[in-house]
Amino acid sequence: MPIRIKEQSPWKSQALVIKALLGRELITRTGKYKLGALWILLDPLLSVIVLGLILGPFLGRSSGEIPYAFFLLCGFMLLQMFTGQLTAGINAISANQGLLVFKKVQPIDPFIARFIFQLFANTLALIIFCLVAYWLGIVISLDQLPVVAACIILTWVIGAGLGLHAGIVCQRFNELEKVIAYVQRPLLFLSCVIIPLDVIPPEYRVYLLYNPLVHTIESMRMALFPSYITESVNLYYPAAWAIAACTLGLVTYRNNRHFLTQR
Amino acid sequence: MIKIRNVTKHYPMRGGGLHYVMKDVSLDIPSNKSIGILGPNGAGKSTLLRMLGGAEAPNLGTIETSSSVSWPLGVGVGLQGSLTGRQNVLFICQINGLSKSETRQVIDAVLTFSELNEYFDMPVKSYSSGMRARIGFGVSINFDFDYYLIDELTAVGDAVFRKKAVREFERIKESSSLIYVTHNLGSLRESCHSAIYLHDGQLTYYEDIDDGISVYKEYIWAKNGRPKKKAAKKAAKKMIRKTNP
Repeated sequence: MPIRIKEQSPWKSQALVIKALLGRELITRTGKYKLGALWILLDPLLSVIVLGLILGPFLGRSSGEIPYAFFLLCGFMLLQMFTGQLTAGINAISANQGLLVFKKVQPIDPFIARFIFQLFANTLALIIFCLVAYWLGIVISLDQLPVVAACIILTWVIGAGLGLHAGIVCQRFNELEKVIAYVQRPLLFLSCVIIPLDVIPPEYRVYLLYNPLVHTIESMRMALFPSYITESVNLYYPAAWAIAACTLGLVTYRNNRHFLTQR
Repeated sequence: MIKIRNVTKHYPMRGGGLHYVMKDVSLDIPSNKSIGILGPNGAGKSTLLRMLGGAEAPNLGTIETSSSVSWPLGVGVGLQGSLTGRQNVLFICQINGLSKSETRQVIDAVLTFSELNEYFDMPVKSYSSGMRARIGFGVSINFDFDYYLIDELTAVGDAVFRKKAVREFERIKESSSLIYVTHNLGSLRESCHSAIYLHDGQLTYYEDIDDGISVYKEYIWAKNGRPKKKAAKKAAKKMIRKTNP
């Protein structure tokens, strides 16, 4: 007997779609590798090991009380939280084009599913790394967990807003994809991932402070290690960025949503 | 009933300008009818189906219905190449909020209908177009829609699948509408009672499909010239004589 599809409220319907897309994301992201979901941990870990081996001898003592490897890892995870969103956003539509034919799957759903996937994967990796660090004897303070959470969420929201915007604009102008790839590269140096903000001469520091990632990355290190102090970073600035980025992304989506389903 | 009201649909052209697929079209598509969509390549038949299925919105005007309409069922439409057949079916069940037992029922039924066997657990991108058609159609017939939108689905299938599909069309027609796009006028006449002719951005409804087909044939003859029946017969006889001396 054929099954009659039950009418659902828009929220419930969207929740079902996002859940199904998350499952699809998990299958295709991890399914093609022998090590599967382990790559969620291995990806940042290997990047940090390679970076640490190259930069450690020169910058190893700059991070003060934080072991340099963990200092690097903190910054790298948050940076990945941001750049990962951009990449996820750029491919969100093309990777799910076949599924947009269903009326229930709106073009924003693949974006949301991918962003949620990024949030969970990266946060999970960060938690595991913290546990391993704790086990290795690195003293991590848990007194300011809300601040850590705020740093993660703010970075994620900025990335999501810009990722949504970029993903839609890329559908119109493919060149943007290339531009973003180039712009992303120097972020490793411009976001205080490899050196603390305090090591940078004050005359250049002013410019770096325009980068919201500097604020979230340094704030998170301060929250995890109370002895690590960086002045002049705060969370209000990235919060303003988060609101702006989200607005930009949603306005772009609103104006282009019919274009996105066109073939 | 699907109410098409003042619908205009256009696509941007490379180098500027707009290509109009439909211009200020209004039409009621009655329920419990089997309707064939006629029109030359590029007239917008698939676009019409996509709009009816809600996959794409018109630029102006509205398409309203309180009935349940399937997604446009074409070859490989709605299938994600990187997922297996089973995962694709599961996805469709999930977004429609089916319970676990219903999902299991659909998966079993699709497996039986499609006869894909071990290919069911292979990525869809490794399928032939006939296999994609089998799985796409196989899922949709497990859902009870008021309108089934079918876009050239049987054209790629083998005789076994075509026969199954025709049988399903007959079953669907008992209680639902079938909206069918194909260039095979024979099978269109066989499966549909009425027709919609799409030309120059307009839709014309014909209660009797034969009227629609004859109008469409006029168009083809205007382009290709009328087939000369006697000449064709002579040529055929000549061929037979040549092959069997």
